[in-house]
Amino acid sequence: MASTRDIHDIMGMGGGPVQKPTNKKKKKVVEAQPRLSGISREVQALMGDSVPPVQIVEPPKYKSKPSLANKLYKPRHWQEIPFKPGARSDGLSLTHWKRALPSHRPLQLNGDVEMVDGIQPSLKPEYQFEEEFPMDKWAVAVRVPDYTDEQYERHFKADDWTREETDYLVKLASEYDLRWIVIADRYDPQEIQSAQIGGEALEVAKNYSSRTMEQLKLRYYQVAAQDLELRTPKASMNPTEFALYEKMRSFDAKTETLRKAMAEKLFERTKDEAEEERTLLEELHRITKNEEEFIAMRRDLYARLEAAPSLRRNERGEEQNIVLSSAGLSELLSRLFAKEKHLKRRAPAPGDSNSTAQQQSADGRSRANTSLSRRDTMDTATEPSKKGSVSQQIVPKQLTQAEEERYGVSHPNERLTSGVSFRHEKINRVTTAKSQVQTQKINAALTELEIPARLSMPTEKVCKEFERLVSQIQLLLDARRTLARVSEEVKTLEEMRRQRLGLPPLAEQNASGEAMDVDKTAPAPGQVGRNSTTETLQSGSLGGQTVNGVDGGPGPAVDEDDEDAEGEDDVEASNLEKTQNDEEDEADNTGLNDDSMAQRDEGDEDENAEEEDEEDDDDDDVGVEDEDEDDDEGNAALMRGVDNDDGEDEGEHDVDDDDVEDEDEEEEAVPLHEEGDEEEEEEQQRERGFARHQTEDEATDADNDDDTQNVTMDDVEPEENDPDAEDDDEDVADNRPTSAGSRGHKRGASVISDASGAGSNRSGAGRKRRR
Amino acid sequence: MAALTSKDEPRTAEYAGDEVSAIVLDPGYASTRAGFAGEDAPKSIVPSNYAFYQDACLFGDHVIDVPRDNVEIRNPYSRDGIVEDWDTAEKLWKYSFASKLTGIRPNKALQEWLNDVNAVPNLQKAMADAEDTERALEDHPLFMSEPNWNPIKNREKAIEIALEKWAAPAFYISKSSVLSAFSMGKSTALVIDIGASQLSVAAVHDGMILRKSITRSHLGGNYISSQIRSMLATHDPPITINPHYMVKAKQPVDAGQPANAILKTFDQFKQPPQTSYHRYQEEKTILEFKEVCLQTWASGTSFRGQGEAIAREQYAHPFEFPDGYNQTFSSDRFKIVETLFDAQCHSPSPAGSLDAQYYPAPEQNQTIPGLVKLCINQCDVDLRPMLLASVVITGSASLIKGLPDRIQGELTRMYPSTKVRVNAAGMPVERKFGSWIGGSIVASLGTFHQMWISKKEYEEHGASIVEKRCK
Repeated sequence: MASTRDIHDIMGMGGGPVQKPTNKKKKKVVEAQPRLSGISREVQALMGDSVPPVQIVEPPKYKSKPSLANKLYKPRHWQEIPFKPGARSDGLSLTHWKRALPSHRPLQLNGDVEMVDGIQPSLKPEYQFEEEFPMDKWAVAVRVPDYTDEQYERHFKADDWTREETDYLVKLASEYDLRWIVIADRYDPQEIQSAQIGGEALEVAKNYSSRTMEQLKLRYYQVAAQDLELRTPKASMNPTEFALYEKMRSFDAKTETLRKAMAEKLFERTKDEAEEERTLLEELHRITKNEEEFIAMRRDLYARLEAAPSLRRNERGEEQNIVLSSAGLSELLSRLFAKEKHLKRRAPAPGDSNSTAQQQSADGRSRANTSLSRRDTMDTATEPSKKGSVSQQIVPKQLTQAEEERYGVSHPNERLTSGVSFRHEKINRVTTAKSQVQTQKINAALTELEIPARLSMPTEKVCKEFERLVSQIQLLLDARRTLARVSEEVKTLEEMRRQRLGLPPLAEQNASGEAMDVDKTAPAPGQVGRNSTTETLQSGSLGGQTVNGVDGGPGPAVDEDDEDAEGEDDVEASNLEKTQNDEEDEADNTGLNDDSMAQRDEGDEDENAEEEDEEDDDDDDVGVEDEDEDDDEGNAALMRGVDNDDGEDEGEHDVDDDDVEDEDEEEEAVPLHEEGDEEEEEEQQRERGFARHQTEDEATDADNDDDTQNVTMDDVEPEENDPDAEDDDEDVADNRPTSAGSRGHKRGASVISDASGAGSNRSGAGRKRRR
Repeated sequence: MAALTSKDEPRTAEYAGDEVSAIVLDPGYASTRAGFAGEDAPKSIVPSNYAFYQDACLFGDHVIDVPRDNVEIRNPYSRDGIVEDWDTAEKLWKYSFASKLTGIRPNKALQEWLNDVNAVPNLQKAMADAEDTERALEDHPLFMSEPNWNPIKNREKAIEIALEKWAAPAFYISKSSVLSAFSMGKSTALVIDIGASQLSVAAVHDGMILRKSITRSHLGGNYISSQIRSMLATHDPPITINPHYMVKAKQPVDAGQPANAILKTFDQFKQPPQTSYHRYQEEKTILEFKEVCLQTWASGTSFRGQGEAIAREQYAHPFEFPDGYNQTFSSDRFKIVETLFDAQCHSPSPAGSLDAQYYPAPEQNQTIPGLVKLCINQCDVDLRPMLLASVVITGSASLIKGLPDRIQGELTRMYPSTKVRVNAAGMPVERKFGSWIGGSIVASLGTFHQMWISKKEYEEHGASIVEKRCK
């Protein structure tokens, strides 16, 4: 770097004056002698440069001792001075040693004081001392009630306490500052007599009984509360006073005695009992300590259980690695393996009608069989023959009835889902009914009964009871609905009769508010008719193509349902309209939501090409419903992404493509009359704070009801995976709340999301449905 | 002044003591302790035994050990540990502080009037005053301890002596168990005090003793001594103690061999020292035996039967008597202490002896666990867990090896449902002088000033004030 010197050089200004003094300084420093302390400068100068051979001055210590000679240390003055303790009234004078305050030196006397014979030096040094500490502030006394004879007679009298006893008690209370343990210890009936005067008292004294602490407390609190009330009327007490007053008033000696008896029992536990409690407490402590950890672990476990299938969907290639990383979930792993194998096996043989037919027939025959066969493929995909031996090894012991109960072993008749499942999942399935509205109603009923939706302790028994309860609720709800419908029908018929007879509408009609409501909200006959047509057509196409043709099992039920619907339509005598209306609707919807429509169209095209496959797939899915639950959840999750819905409901429920169809049929078949009830009920619920959900629901309901005919939904099919078609609807409705009667589109949207998640294979239902 | 609530915390300065140079006097059956309040140990420790020699009382540690002509060792206390002989007790107490702490106060007559005849106003009055000025405690308030079971009369007598005879400006008396609890920093405690004459258990709540809970028995240090005596007497061969004062010369002998010692004769006296003197000297040897040999059976097994056999084999300990006789003691040294816990371990003293009269076989409820049980049962059930959580052990006899641990074990076994925690000071001085230390703490507190009974109050209310004020 260039220094100033360089600059000077370059500028031709010479070395500059800066340099010289530094040189000088350096020289000086080098020459300087280590200065010896303790010697005056003159002496050191005499020595010159030579260093003395012997150390003539002691090097200073780091910390010198205080010495009076050096005047480094001056003793503070202490003096024994008398004082009078503040809390005393008797003028007792005690003495203690006090140190003078440092700021006030005694008057300095220059030089020695000459002692004059007989005369003390008059200049006595004066010191100042700290003020006495006000120790008397700790002399506090407790305030006890006091009363005159008259007051006692009027207010404080008690049956079981004499005046003397009360006096004695109050005296003790003030003496021992309300330390009840001490008071009870010192309470001596013998002393009461000694407080009295004369021999007469002795006779009375015999009656005084000893008292328990509770009796003493009770009496004192009575007196004190009374006293407090006399002093300050109840109305003008301040909160603390009133709290005290209330506390004293409500003292319950019996409870206290009981508590003490129990405490005594607790105190006299045996060693074993104490040990047991100790271990329990330790366990509790451990649990509470690790609670957060447990919760985190459980959450993690849930996350894994839920996330794993969706992973499979998304990234088939990586799925294995990801699942392997979650150690301890070997069950899940094996399940996924099995599924993977299943898929692989199935994938190359879409045209293998033999295998699919087999599977279909198996599905058709019975579900239990299916599940069994599923298990076979799962556990021992390669060597099914070994399975029996394996299971024998696993269950070598025959459990007794009691043991089975204890370990929760069950022999369920319904088919088992493969893999790990939680009981509460099953329970959730129970609470979700066919339609959203139904589900809400069931939940409302449960909340009314104060039963949490997720059972806190889902033991086998509890679950069974819960299932029973829910089915009862469902039954009741259905009954109510039927009642409403029938009564409505009766009314309609009466009305018709009246019209036929040419009578004017009666005021009777308005008698029931419910009926009015229904009338108001009932759609125009034309509208109803139109929509119902759509439904009929749709169901017809469905029945023809999928259900009736291929399936033996669930198909007929749906069909029946549909037929019902049609029948009812006829009864209603609404005028049927053309499918075109529906298509128009669709067109509108397309305008509203281009994006989804485009997607759907794509899906359509694909599906057209692979219609055969779809059908197979769908059927497959019916059989493999449970297997696919997770997949469907995955779908739901995906849909969340696509539709940008709030997916809470979806996350919990399952969507099954086939069920979407069945489901919707049924859901559309929700009778019109329900609305009256519904609104009532919903109002209630809103009051309970479900506001948001419910309004959504209402919107959905409005939609639905527009679409619905007066169709019975008598057959409550025990489908497990009902509900979510509705959810979809709801969500879509959320997105476009204006589009009433846009069923087709809604369905399309949901299905498309499915399709985009699962590949074109799985979106057949939606397409068919639209057709 | 605004009333204080429990939330008002004292400032740091307020914790500090405010010493008014009070004297703390802690009289006991074995020794009388005195010292200035605020110190951590008594400065003056005088044996309560005194030598009665030629119609005079000799106090002090060494004076009474000298063998004298017909000297008798006496004790002003009864075997309950309360004062019987007030005249001597007063002298003894005065000696305990006057000899080392306050000194004999200089006579005003000597100091002021000796050189100035004119200053003497009235000779008669002067002589009376001179006597008066000898009063020992004119500048020092007196703080005393008393046994838990001290009768009211004795308390009144004590305040009378202190305020009238010693002219103390103020006086206070407190139960020794309370003070022991204070010395361990507890205001609520179950105090097990194993003194010389008495074993006492008492519950202290909030600095106040619960009168109904006071229990005691004779299983104190002296009882243990009597057990040692009877053990030695029943030993095979019987061992007689020749205290140090009797031994003139001795030769070392092997274990179990008879002593080879020359004993002193006391022919120079008209009458040799009395039995009480001999006994007192024996007691010194026994004390040594206690310190060296006695041990508490701590193992989980019960001592009787199994433990005794184990102790016999494994825990032998030698002891040499002043005359050179030495012997190993094994199970006996446990058995003696075991009596404090198990009444059946009592070994009866020779019939007709003083010991047999004074120290009869104890009942089971006179042992430590028995007394604790009695005491606890007298307390409120809410208080019991608190008491057991702070059990304070004090008293010289509790210095026997392993005793606090054993008590801890016993109480834990007795009360499995609550936490038992035994507090015993680690230092022997603190254990021995627990009640004195507690008194020293209390009397040096600034807040204690309001508690003193002043002379004026005493004059107004009479001696009965002590019962009102010292609760």
